[in-house]
Amino acid sequence: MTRPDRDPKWREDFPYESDNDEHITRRDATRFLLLVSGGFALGNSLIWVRAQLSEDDPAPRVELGAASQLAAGTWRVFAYPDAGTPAILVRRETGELVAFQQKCTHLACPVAYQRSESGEGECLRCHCHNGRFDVASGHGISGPPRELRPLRRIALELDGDRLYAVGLLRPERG
Amino acid sequence: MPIRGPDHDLRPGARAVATARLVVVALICSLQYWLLTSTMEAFHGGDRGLPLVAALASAGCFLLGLGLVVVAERSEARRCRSQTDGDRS
Repeated sequence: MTRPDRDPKWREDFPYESDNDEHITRRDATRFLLLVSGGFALGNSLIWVRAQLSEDDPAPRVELGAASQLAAGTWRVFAYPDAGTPAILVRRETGELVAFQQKCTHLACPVAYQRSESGEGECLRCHCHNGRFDVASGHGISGPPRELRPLRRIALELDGDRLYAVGLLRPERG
Repeated sequence: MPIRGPDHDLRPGARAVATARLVVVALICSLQYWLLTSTMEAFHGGDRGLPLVAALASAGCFLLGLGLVVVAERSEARRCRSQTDGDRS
């Protein structure tokens, strides 16, 4: 079968057809992959731009209420640094106050505080995949988070009995 | 009017070179994918120094792939020109 409107002369002389006649060539595949590569490079550049912009954002100062209302070994949730980002405020069994962003670094499930019981130390627990974080540092201690970054810690400031969240702390190396 | 031959490169080794080029560009893409996910992970973890290095590395990878493709396209264009000249003579 010939296509007289498009076909060159050689196809008239050798009028064979193949199902693979219109297959994607290596050259086309390479071009497409190059396009994907450009997309990845652009994505990396956008992350850098986002990092530059977010550095300029001043950390908001958010009031969390009276510190004395939170008993030892209890916790509550608040939003920080914006209304859409959940965070967790914990008064440890020792009485120390700590706060972290609440999204698990594995798949963003919310973490919850768990008191020490039956030999297990207190921790922040993600119930989706049974991940546990150290309540003092935010580092993963078991489950999927152990291999991932720690929870971002939120700096707290006590003014009399009033408690404020004042910024996100940089994660500790190592 | 000269008869036009098939469009693909029939020189010895041309297929192997095209395959190698495709594999190298695919490997570069894989590396960039890993770089992108790692950078995003680091960025969400509060690392603000890594994204610049990662963006430069990713751009370098892209330029490397672009170089390979440009060299291939130029070689192909040269081949087509010399083939056309040969057909005329």
